[in-house]
Amino acid sequence: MYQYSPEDQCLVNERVAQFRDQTERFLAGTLSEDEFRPLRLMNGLYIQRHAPMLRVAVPYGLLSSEQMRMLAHISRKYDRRYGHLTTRQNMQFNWLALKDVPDVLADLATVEMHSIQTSGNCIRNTSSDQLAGVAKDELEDPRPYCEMIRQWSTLHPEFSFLPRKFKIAVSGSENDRAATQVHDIGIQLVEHAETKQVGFKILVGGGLGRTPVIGKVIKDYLPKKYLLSYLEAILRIYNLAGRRDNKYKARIKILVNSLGIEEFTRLVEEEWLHLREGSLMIEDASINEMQKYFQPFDYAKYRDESSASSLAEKLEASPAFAIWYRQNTQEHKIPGYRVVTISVKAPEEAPGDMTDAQMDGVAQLADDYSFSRMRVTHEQNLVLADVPEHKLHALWKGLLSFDLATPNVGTLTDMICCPGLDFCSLANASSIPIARQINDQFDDLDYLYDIGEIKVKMSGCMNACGHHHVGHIGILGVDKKGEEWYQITIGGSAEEDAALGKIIGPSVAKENVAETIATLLTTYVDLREEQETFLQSVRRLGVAPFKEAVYG
Amino acid sequence: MGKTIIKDDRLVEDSWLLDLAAEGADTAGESATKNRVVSLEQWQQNRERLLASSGPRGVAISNDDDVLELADDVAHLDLICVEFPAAGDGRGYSQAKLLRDRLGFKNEIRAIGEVLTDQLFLMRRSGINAFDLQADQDPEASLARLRPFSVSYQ
Repeated sequence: MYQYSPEDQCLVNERVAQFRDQTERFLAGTLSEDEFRPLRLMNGLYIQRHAPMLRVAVPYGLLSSEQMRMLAHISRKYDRRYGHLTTRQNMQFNWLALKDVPDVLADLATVEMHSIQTSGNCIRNTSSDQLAGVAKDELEDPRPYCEMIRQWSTLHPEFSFLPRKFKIAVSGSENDRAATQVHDIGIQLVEHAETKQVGFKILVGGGLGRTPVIGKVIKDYLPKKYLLSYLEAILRIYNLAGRRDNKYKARIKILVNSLGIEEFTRLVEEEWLHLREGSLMIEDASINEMQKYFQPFDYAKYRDESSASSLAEKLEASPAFAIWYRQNTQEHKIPGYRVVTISVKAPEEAPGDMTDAQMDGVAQLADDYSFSRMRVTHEQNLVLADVPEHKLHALWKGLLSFDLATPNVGTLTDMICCPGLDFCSLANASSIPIARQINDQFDDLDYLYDIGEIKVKMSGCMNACGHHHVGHIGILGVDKKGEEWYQITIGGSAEEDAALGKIIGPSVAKENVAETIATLLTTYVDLREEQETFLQSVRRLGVAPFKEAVYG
Repeated sequence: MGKTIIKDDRLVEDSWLLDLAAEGADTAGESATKNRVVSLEQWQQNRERLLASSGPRGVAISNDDDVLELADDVAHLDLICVEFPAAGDGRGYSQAKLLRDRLGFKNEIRAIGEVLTDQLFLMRRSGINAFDLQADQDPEASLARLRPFSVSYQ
């Protein structure tokens, strides 16, 4: 993974000092609330229902065990012994005291972490594929480019006060696990049709929120050396022309839609002509240097002659292990290794919440079995990407002891869920209690396995932090005269077949959400053709039979 | 006594008079001793006359203006004011960057409007070299916070 240079470390340390100064001035009354707000937001600090919430950046979701231990330490020392994994692959803490935040940032800086630009109208943490570097279907590891974007965008003087927040995602694979089509800018590594050189396809103007839009292609193929100059051109056009009169119309998707993609592209291309051969040019040598940080591990080191047979024996001997193996692990590009998804979706816990003991536990397991690295997924789980097969059983035992081995990855209860009304001051309705209701209703794992792959995504308001528009089943909390109601959509997807879900009918009462999902699933089971997933059935059948089943 | 601004990392007394009212407005008194800054519209309407006059010339652009319209003018200008109507409105950063990088403007670019202590470092790095602070900001404290970072990525 990327290691800070002395300059990187210096910048983060100076950011801590700057924020300490700003916080002290605010607490002393010399900096007004209005002036402090954008400053703290640009450092990931929100004032929420109960206390300030601090969002810590996890660049493209990649963490070392040392960093995970620091997150555990922070939750223990300054918070209530837990943290929450977010859909931008970050971790946030909900119960900090404002006066402690500079100390938290100083602690983070000791392990090359920060909270820069995890909020505010600026370029946010670049997200990526949780299988980066280990996926068989990958063209190239996207993380070196994510890191370049991270550096270019960090404290960018020109783009720190954009019309609205700005999110970029990069995928190295045709199978899009980074939701690139619903980002302000989506970047996909592609091969040039003739030259076979790897470059980028650039999408612009995707996003969720109040106005969900699938991104449009602005550049079919961009040579690697132009990545940053092209991004700069897009951001400059957006910064100058994006709407600032209405924050709900300020995202780049609104600008792209109002100008039309052709006109927007023309403006960007014209701007880019002035920038492309300038100082943002990326030399091959810089790419090579950056790629050195993301080299494959020494996989031969852990290869064990007996691995295949020992795994087979364990799978045979323990059905519970076999189920976990089938559900929570997947193929690695190197034979003899598996990718393990750690389910942070235990039925009784809020989706994506981890205790300090779990954080420390995962750090130790990563040290023991996966080269001391882990990834946060945008689906609010963790991944240990490089586990030798013969270590899987021991890892599973370890995960069991921390209640992190729920074999539900990819199933109905592996939900994306925003913090909702319980924590968030924007929310209209709660989400965590709905997740619990769904877990209570669907506690039969065999039924979940029969239903198969299904992505449920839930947001407590139309800002869509829980990505409900792109859930196979989406749940949106709405406020109706002070009561919590839930609008259900079906048929959405954030992957390469990205689509926005369709509303099935009037919103349902809070106590009926799980029951409504049960009806949708029964309908699916009745109507599915062999091997058809829920999403495929919805696409074949349309909304009608599901609507009919729910509303009669 | 004129007001104090920050220019080139120093506190200096302002030698300009911002005169964005319609042409012909009464600016008696001060206007005799100060250099006048006019709006982009005034500049464009009275370009020939202003170019013929001697003495320093300044233009203030609003954040809706396209700074590239000044392409043929920058060689004749001593000051361009970039307006920040609200601290969160970041168009001025791009305007300053374009003035420096695209048009090669070398003279003073001054931030006016809601110009706050904690944003000066970003403004400075976008090419702005003078700051007319919002009235409630402390010039000394602002000067001390002009360079919170000794390194940068851009």
